[in-house]
Amino acid sequence: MKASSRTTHTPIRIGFVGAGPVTQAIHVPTLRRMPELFVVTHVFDVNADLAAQVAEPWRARWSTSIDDLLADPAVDVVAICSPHAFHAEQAIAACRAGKRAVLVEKPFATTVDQARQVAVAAAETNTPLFVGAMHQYDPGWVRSKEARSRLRGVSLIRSSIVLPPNPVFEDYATEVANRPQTPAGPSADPTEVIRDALLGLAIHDLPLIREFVPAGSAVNVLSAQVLQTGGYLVTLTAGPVLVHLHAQLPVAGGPSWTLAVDAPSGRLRTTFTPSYVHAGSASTQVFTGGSSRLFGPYAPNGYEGEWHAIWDALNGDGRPPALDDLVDDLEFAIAIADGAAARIASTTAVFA
Amino acid sequence: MTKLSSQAAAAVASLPITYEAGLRARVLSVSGEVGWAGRAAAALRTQPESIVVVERPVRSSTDELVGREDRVVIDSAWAHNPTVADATALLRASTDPLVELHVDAPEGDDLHQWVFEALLLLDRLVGVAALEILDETVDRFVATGMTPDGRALSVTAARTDSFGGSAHIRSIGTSQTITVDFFDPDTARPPLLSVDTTDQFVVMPTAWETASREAWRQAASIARSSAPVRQLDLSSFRNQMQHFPLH
Repeated sequence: MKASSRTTHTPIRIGFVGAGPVTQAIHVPTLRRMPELFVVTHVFDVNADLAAQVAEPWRARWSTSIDDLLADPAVDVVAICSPHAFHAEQAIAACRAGKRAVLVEKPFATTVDQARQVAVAAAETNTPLFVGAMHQYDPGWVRSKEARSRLRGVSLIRSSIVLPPNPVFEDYATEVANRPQTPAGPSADPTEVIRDALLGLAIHDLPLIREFVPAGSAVNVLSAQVLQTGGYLVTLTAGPVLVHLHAQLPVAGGPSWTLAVDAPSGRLRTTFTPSYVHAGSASTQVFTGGSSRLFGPYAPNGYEGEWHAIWDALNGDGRPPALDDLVDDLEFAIAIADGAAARIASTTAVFA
Repeated sequence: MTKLSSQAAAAVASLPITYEAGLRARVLSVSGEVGWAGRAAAALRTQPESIVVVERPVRSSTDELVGREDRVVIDSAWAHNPTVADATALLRASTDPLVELHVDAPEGDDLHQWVFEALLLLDRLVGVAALEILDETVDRFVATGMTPDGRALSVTAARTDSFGGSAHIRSIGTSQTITVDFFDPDTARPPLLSVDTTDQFVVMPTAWETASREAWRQAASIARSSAPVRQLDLSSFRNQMQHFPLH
């Protein structure tokens, strides 16, 4: 964070594509804490009432056509918070519209081909592209980088996400308008369920996991289960690293979101806050050489980290993520999601 | 008693009233190294009232001890910890769809022996009906399985340089999460048993007690009893051998 430069510029103007809970509970409260850096100037949603409602406190324009938002000269940065299926197309359009930067929620595409098309559009238009992967920007993770780089020969990584329903934490962040209805009952197709769950939930931590996997490593899903009450249990190898992914939701008890990395040379334990709620950063404990270091929790969270990164990149104080890394992260996630779906299809095992 | 390991000697020394002089000769200990079942069977032929198998017995056949289950106590890492009874009552009453076990093993130790110790514990807590090993090396282990009542099991283990051996069990359902953590069995650090629901997070009382002391108390109880005392140790050992045999 380059605090000095953040006091000498006019705020960056943000246009939101989609005005649902992610915009309302995550980004709007975050931007409200940075009024000197950002201002919302345009909100697009297919629901006119919702777009108007989210825009009103900012005295921002609203529209029901994304073309209006992309044509608005008062929008510097486009934040894409629409359903996953629209991300790639809208990100490409935002790049082609000549915006200064694009923030797109994860996953930024649903196929590898789409991801590459987004990267091409960003490269050709020289548009900084950011993915809303808040754990990658979480200070409790970012500041552990040097310490975790000492973990050699990682053998096992475990991601475990146990969460009450999302609205619990949305309500701790804001008062959500027009909350979408959750579809009743599980999907009939467990291969779709697990693919959606991995690309919607596990994807938060997959880029963090990939950091410990040698480049070019093949993904091999050994086991995949859909838990009947909601969630998944997936075991895979990524090159020499064994990865165990678990999620269970909704649960009645408290949330638990952890990432554990084990190596003969040491171990790492990160505890993340739930999504939506603005509860400060994660905390990461790294044990190596017989001692441990604890990073966090800090007051800023990963959402603020995303926006600070955008500010820094647009003001010459930082660089946007490498497009190849973004594509590789997504390719890793899709390989796991597709592998898990294929494993489910071959076993059709849904555990009680 | 035969010559005791330092750990077993410490456990017995900490029970001076239970192991008054008259009892000591009636309880034998057998090292759990390779061939322990044969040595235990031979020792039982010398007419001791009970046998304690110490030093975490290695996985091997126990055929020579068939019919002697009521005389053999296995001093395993956690199965005799007094917290097991409370945790078992909670876990077996739940209908949570998934039970997780993670095992941490110290670098340099045999990871698979620690996994086996944890399976003996899990067998007491919820039972193990099936286990499929997905991947295993000297440093890591992953398996899935099922409990006798049809709940999914997830078992992971890793060796690191930073932990004593420990076992962490979590049962997660839509109405509650039960967590129990067992720590280095060579210490009296108490397990942590908690129940988390919508309304409350309850940390249950546990004891600063080692599984070893409880195992030796049990052996003394057998020696003092005139009637056979049902023991779970050998049957549990055999069950887990079926799920996790030596290669």
